[in-house]
Amino acid sequence: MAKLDPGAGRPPGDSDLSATYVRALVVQVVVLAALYWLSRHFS
Amino acid sequence: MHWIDWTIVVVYLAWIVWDGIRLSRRTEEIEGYFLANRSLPWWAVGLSVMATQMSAITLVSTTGQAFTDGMRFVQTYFGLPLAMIILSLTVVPFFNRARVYTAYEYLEQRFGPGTRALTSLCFLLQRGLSAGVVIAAPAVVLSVVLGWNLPLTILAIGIPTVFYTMKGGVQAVTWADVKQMFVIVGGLFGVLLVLMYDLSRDVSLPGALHLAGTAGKLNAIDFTFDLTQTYTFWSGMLGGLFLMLSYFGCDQSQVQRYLTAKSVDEGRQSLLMSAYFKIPLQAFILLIGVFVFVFFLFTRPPMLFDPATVSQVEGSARAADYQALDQQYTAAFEARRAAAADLAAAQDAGDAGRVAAAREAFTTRDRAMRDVRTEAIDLVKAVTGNDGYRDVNNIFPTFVTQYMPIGLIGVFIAAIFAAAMSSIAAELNALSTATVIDFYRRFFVPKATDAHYLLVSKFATAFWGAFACVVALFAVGLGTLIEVVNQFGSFFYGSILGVFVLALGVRQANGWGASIGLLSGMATVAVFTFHPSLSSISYLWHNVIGVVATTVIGTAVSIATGGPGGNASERVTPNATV
Repeated sequence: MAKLDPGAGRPPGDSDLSATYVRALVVQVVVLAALYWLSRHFS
Repeated sequence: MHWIDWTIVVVYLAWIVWDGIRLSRRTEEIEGYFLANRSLPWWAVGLSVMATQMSAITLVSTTGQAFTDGMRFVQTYFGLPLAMIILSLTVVPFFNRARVYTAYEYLEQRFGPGTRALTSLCFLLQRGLSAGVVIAAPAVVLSVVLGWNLPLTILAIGIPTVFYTMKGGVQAVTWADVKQMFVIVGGLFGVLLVLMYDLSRDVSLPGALHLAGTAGKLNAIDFTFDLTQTYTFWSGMLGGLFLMLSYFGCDQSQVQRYLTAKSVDEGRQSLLMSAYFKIPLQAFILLIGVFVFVFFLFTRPPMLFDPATVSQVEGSARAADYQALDQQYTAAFEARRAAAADLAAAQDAGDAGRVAAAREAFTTRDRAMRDVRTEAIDLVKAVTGNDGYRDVNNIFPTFVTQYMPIGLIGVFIAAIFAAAMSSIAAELNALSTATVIDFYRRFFVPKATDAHYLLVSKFATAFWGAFACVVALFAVGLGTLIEVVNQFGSFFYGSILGVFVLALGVRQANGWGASIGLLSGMATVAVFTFHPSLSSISYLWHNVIGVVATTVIGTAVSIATGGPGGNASERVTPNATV
C-alpha cells in the first residue's frame, strides 16, 4: 500500500477511532442476527 | 387529492427552497459554494450522505420489491458498514489533506491530467444518466397520483431542485438534505403506524409476520452462493462491499458530502452514521412493503397497480380476456383471504397440526393468486408490446393514496419529492463541481475570478438539470428503476474504484496503467453484461469484476510502460494542490 498517513503524529481533528469501528461492526453483526432470526422464526 | 394534502406539499417545497438558500453562507467564494468552507458538522453531513443515497426510488421501488419479492434486497447493503470503515481509514483523511474539490483531482497528483479527465468523464456520464433515472421514478408515480402529464411532473421535481442547488451550492443541498431525511423517515413512520392500526383489525403482529414469512416475504438472508442470483448474503457482502466502496469513495456526489466536514474525524463520523443506520433503515422500509402485502391479504388489491396501463388494455381487443382474468383474480383473492384468516387463527390457537395444514393451503392459494397476476402482466406485455412491463413502482403509492388518511397522503407525497430532490440536488452539485473543477478550470480557463467560476458553475448546474430531465423522459419504461440505477452504476463503479486502488495501493502504477486499466475494466464488465454465456452473472458481481480487471491490467500495463516513472508524478503528495 502507498503511505496513507503521512507524518508521525496525528494532526488536530484526526483521532484514532478504532473503538468506533469495532462498535459499528458489532452493531452490524447484531442487525444481521436479528434479520436472520426474523427470516427463520416466522417462515 | 384533498386541499390539505396539496397545502402540505406546496408549503414543504417552498420551505425547502427558501430555507436552503437562507442557510447558505459565503457562497460567493468557490470553496464556500462547493465545499461549504469545510465547516459543516458531522451529523448534518451524515444525514446528507444518507439522504443522497436514499432517493425516491428507495421509497417507491424498494417497498414494491418487498411486496412482490420479500426482503432479500436488504442484502445489497451488507457490505456497507465494512466499506465505511475502510473509507474512514483511507480516502477520508487522504482527500481531506489533499485539499481537493473533487475525488478525481487527486488522480492528477498521482497519475497526471489524462487519468483525472478520463475518470471524471466516466463520472459525468454515469451520474448524469443516473440523475435522469432518479427523477424518472418519482415522476412516474407522481404523474399518476397527481394526474399530471409526465413532462410537467419531471419539471415540477427538477426546477425547484435546480433553483436551490444553483443558488446555494453545497450548503443549500446539505441543509435541505437534513430536513428531507426527517420528512422521509417521519412520513414512513406515519404510514407504518396507520398500517399497523388497519392490520390489527384482521390479524395480530406476530400473525402478520407469520403470514408474511409463510409467503416467503421475510427472506432477508440467503446464504446460497450463486453468481446468477442478485440478492444473496455473499453478493451483498462482496459485490455490495465493492459497490459501496466505489459509490462512497469515488463518486463525487458522495465524496463532496464529506469534503464539507469540519475535520477528518467529522468526515469519518458522517460516514459511520450510515454504517450504523443504513441496514436497519433499509430493513424498515422493506418491512413496510411486507406489511402492505399482509394488508392486501385481507383487502382486495388491484390486479395491476398501474391504472393507465389497465385503461389501455381495457380499451383494446383483449378487454374481455382482461375482464376474465380480473374475475379469476377476485375468486383467487377470496380463497387466499380465507386461507390467511385460517392460518392466523391456527397460529393464535397454537395447534401445530392445524397450522401445518393451514400453511399449505395458504401457500397454494397465494401461488394461485400470483399466477393470475402473472397472466395479467403477460397480457399487458402482449397488448402494449412492452416486454419489460412491471408495475412494482406503483404498488406503494397506490396503497398510500387509496388507504392512508388525509394529511398523511400529503406528507407521503412531500416525502417522495424530498427523497427525489435530495439525491438529485447532490448529483447536480457534484456534476457541476466536476465539470468546472476537472474540466473548465483545469483545461480551458485556469485563471479567473471566483465570481466567474461561480457563474459557470450555476450554468453547469442548470445544464445538468436539463440533461437529467431529458434522460428521465426516456428512462420511464426501463422496468424496476432501482435495478436500472444500480446497473448503470455497476458498469462504471468497479472500474473507477480500480483506478483508486492503483493510486493508493500499487506503488508501480502510472498514468498509462490507470487509464488503460480503467478502459479495460469497463470493457470487461461490458463483456460480462452482454455476452450470452456470462450475462446471467448478477450485476452486483460486476463491481468486483471491474475492480479486479482494472487493477490487474493497470498494474501489468504500468510495469510494461516503465513503472511509476511513466507519468508526471510518481509520489503521493497529499498536501499538493492542483
